[in-house]
Amino acid sequence: MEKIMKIKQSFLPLVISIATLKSIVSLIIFFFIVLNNFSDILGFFLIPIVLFSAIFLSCIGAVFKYFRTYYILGEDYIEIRSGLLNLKKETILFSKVTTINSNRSITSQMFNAHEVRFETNDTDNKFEVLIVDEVSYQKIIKAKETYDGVNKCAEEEEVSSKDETLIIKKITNSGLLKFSITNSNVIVSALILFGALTSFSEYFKTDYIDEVINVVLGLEIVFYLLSLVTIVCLILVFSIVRNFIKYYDFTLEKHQDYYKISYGLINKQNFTLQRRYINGVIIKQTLLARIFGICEISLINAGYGSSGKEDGEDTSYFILSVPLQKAHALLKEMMDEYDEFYSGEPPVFKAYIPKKVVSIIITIIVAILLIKFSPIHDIFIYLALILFIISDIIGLFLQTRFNRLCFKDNKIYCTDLTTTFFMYTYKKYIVNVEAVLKLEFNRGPFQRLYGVGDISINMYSDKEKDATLKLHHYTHKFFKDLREYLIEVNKGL
Amino acid sequence: MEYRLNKNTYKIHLLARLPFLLIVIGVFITYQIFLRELIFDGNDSLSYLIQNIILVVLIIILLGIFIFTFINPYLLYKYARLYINDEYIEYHTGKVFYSTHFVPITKVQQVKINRGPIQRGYKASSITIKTAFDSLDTASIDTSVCEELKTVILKRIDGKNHEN
Repeated sequence: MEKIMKIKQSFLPLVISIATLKSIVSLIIFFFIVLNNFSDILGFFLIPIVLFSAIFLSCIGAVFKYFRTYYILGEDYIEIRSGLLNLKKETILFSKVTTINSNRSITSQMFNAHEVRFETNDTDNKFEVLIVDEVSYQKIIKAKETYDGVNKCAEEEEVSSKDETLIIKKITNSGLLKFSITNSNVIVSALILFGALTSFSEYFKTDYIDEVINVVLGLEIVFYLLSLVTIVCLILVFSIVRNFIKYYDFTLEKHQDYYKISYGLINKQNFTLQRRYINGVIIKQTLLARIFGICEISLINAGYGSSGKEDGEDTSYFILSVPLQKAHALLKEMMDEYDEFYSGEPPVFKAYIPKKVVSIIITIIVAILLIKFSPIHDIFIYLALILFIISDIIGLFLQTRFNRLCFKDNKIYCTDLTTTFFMYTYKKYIVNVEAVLKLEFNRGPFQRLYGVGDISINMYSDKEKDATLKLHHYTHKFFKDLREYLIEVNKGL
Repeated sequence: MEYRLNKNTYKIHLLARLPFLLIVIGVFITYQIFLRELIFDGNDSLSYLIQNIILVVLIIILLGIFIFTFINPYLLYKYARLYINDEYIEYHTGKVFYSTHFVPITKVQQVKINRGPIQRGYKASSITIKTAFDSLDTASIDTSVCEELKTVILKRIDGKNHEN
């Protein structure tokens, strides 16, 4: 007989406080704009009336939401019933659920509650967020586990299933510090900020700045250097604080059929990720990360369809700051049939040259226009131009060394180096061939000269940018081989 | 099996794109006759330079749309091919900007036939083959061929599913 549990929306005060907080913040922003544009008298009378009525209405709405929302937990589904006038009934089948996410904001933590969100493969999976207590959350997780066949004899194996939980990666504070330093392009950000500040100081030159330069330091260059160092330090501190708040206590737990990723200092994030939905991995390394000998692993998994973002928050699954030598061991632990990385075939490098020449010509034209018409000091434009050209040439050299593609053992192995003004990011992709949905080969007039084109590989992924793998300047023969391989693998499915 | 586009592809695309070309020509003429003098009243070197840059950009856009309207449909008809067999669907387009789209038949989730008002007049339709993430859109193909294609693709998907 089917076992059905009825769970009520938990924590009335929490529901009210979330709704109230949201309305207050949005109203403050709104009034800030209004007060800047209209008279103070209007704002003086308008603010209290609208603010209190909005808070009152949001409280009433929250109370109705509390009493009119509840969830029915079946053996293979969860049903969410909500609404006062427009009744809404959502049935989410466990077979379609790829991940169950729990978000714990400050208010949720105060009441020890979970904001649970279900994710399916559909493109428009905007299900109602469940606000439940710890016990109900565990019930939901258990129901899903039971459905997936993890706990076949739930009562008997309750103790042993707890033993199966294995923490395979816990990021230490030093690891997080390394990640913060390596993941922020401090030099570029500092140079941009510094350039902008000095240009403004030149543009709005005052006697006071002149006095500071002349009297306190005497030398202009010392002043500039000190400013640059201060900006670099500030950016670093900001990056470290932000990453500590976001990724504090990053833990990856391995369960029998799924992984659990949790992190966060103020907002605690919990991701339950099904092992069978992992379609590939990306090992990412910036130039600074390479110096520190660490890398970042992202998992490509079938998830939120084309949206890739949930409430503006990026929801990729990545494992921060792993020492490179341990990355392969960790991936072997996480993925079945994972093998060492194959080097593969390089693209035709001559084909990179026309594109680079065009980009350098465009940069020179922009620089000439900036020198003529912008208030920015000429020396910074020359400096930026030289740095850009050097960065492009180094990038080309690195691309010849690193870019590779091969397919073997039902997997596509690929390395790709992207360059954005000294921000060299080295990525290794390992993708299951079964996850490939579409192949594309595009050839422009320049590439025609060298008999090459760009290969695009589309696959199932939760993130749009990871869903398409773009590989530049490969021969048409190579594309044909890849196509044949894909046909062969699909025959075996 | 190899399929070519509808014989009237050139006319269909020309008729569909002509209004856009006329609008752009209208904007160009309005700018040259009325707006140019209104916006730039000074005769300094900066305003002269901006005027010339805008003129060059507008001419490039106009030329691009002209090529897109009159030459692109002809090249599209000449080079576009659709191949279907038991394992995959492949769609080739272009000569200068060559492009190949390849979809394994097992990954197809939906087949959609679109018929616009102009296409209806020439008994043509375009076909959209959807996968879980992306889709493949073809240009105008004969409606009868489209229906046949749809049946063939769905039969093959069905056959594959039974095999598995």
